[in-house]
Amino acid sequence: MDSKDWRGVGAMVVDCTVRLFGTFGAELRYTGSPDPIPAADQLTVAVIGLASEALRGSLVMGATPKVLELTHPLRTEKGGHLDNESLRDWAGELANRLVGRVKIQLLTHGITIQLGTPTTMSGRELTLGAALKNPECLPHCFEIGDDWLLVRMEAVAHPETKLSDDPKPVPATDEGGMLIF
Amino acid sequence: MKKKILVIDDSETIRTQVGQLLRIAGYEVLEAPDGIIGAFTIRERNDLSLVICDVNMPRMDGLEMLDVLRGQTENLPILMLTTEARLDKMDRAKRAGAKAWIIKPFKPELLVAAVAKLVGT
Repeated sequence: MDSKDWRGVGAMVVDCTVRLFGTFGAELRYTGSPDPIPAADQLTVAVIGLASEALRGSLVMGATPKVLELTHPLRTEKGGHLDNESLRDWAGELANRLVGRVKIQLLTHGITIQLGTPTTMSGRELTLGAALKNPECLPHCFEIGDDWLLVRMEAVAHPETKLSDDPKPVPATDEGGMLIF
Repeated sequence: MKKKILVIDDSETIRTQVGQLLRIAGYEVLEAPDGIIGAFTIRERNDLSLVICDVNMPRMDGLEMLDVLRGQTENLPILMLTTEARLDKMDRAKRAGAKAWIIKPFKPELLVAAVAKLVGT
């Protein structure tokens, strides 16, 4: 994949992130690729591996507690601040939904990937390191109020992998859709 | 007696969210965090009215669980609740015995209506 393709993948990640959070009524503001990558007093991180012959790597999502609480489906029931375990669990679910969206986008451009299951962690002064294996994979930062979210999909591609210039719709059903067999 | 529904999802948040909805709707809810415990629970119990199952889970995913249980759940409807939206995956689930597929994020009223339809209430 050339730089144009990697920028295309980055644009997919940004688009999918904004749309995903939009489904929860959270309007993210994309602020680009920060350098240095910020550290938060408290950060929850979810990592999901992805692999195929074409592409392998991971998607990493780091969010401040407020961002996760804003979208958490049990926030009204529990009230106040959610505990770390709930935030980690929800970060994993959000990362899963995000990488699922990216997977569909990649598929429309002819790239198939298989996904792992999320690993999550939380801590103080955590930061996402720079991409080690592929400097084309930039972190993407989003703000909502005073809080923020970082997403980075880092991957290496097979030498012959490229994004199709002619995206084809993937047979799929819309979110929230239901099929009774 | 309340009808019993097994919710299989690796996210405790989703299990709790779905469980709350179903309990309010009058069902008894059991939970399992992956396909292995889900399959074990389904085999061990004969009083389940419905299974709601995620696809992407650790240890054993939802489609693998359907394969493991193939031929053993004719009278037990299984509803897949997942972020997976590809029709080929849905077709695989259908052939393995699933009765419905809902894509997250789901509308609570849609899920409850689908459950009522599948359990016949």
